Amino acid sequence: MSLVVYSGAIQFIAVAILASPFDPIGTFAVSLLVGARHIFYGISMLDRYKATGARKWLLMHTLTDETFSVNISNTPPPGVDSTSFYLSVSLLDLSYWCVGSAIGAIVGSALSIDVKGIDFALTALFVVIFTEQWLKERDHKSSLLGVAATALSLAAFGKGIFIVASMAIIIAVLVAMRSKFEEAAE
Amino acid sequence: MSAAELAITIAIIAVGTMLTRYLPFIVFSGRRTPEFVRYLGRVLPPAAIGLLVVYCFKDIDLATGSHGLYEIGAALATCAIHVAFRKTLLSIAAGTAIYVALVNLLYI
Repeated sequence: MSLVVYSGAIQFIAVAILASPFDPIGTFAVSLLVGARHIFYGISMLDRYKATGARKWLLMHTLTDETFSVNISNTPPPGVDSTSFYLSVSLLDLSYWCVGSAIGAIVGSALSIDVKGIDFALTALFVVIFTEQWLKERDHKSSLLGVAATALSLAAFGKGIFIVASMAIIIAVLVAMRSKFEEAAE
Repeated sequence: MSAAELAITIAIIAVGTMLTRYLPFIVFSGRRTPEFVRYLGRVLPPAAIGLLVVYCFKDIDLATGSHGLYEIGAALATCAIHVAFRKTLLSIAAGTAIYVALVNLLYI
């Protein structure tokens, strides 16, 4: 599952789905809903992944939260082929995930060491990327919009559908205030 | 669920998840990406990272436990460490260590 699904959020939910009665349509709907944020990543990576040829299939398949955040915030060093750079990041992430899952499956059934709070590393990664982006960008409108829209959606709609709701708000604001965001970007 | 139903369910989850990853590339695979979508591609990334940060805090319960103070405190510390040193791995390691220390040492 780590190889073909390769998404932590839905794999955690899959544990509950697999323990419940068979429900193909509900399962499909939940997968789309939880994965909806990937659409944002895809739109953001369209240009960077444009001239990648057949390797594009692998890049698309491995576009996770972590891979997106690393690939969008780093440019390949001079002299390094950009497709190879993005693909290396993607495949390293995939291999960590699969090796980690396998170790978890083998070791997890044998013993339970649990360092409470270690999963904060993921939060820290995103906080660091956000901070770095904040320090580099001249205009903070888009960053602020992402945080504000998502926080508002979480408060208003709860954990179930807040991602889709915040995506809708973000797109709506970007469309409505295009001229403001456009001049900020240039 | 039977073994077949388990396999089908996993396949459905895989297809649903991959559809969300492939969709933008398939829809905009034409020669020219529409100008409107290219505009989104330019302004969307910072907002998407902002979304991810908030997404990580979705399980915090402000009403009970530590009221999210550990998470917010550790995140602010991570942010401060990063502003000071600008070393990604250092910031992540230190921020995580602070959070682990907070939840394990302070929580009774």
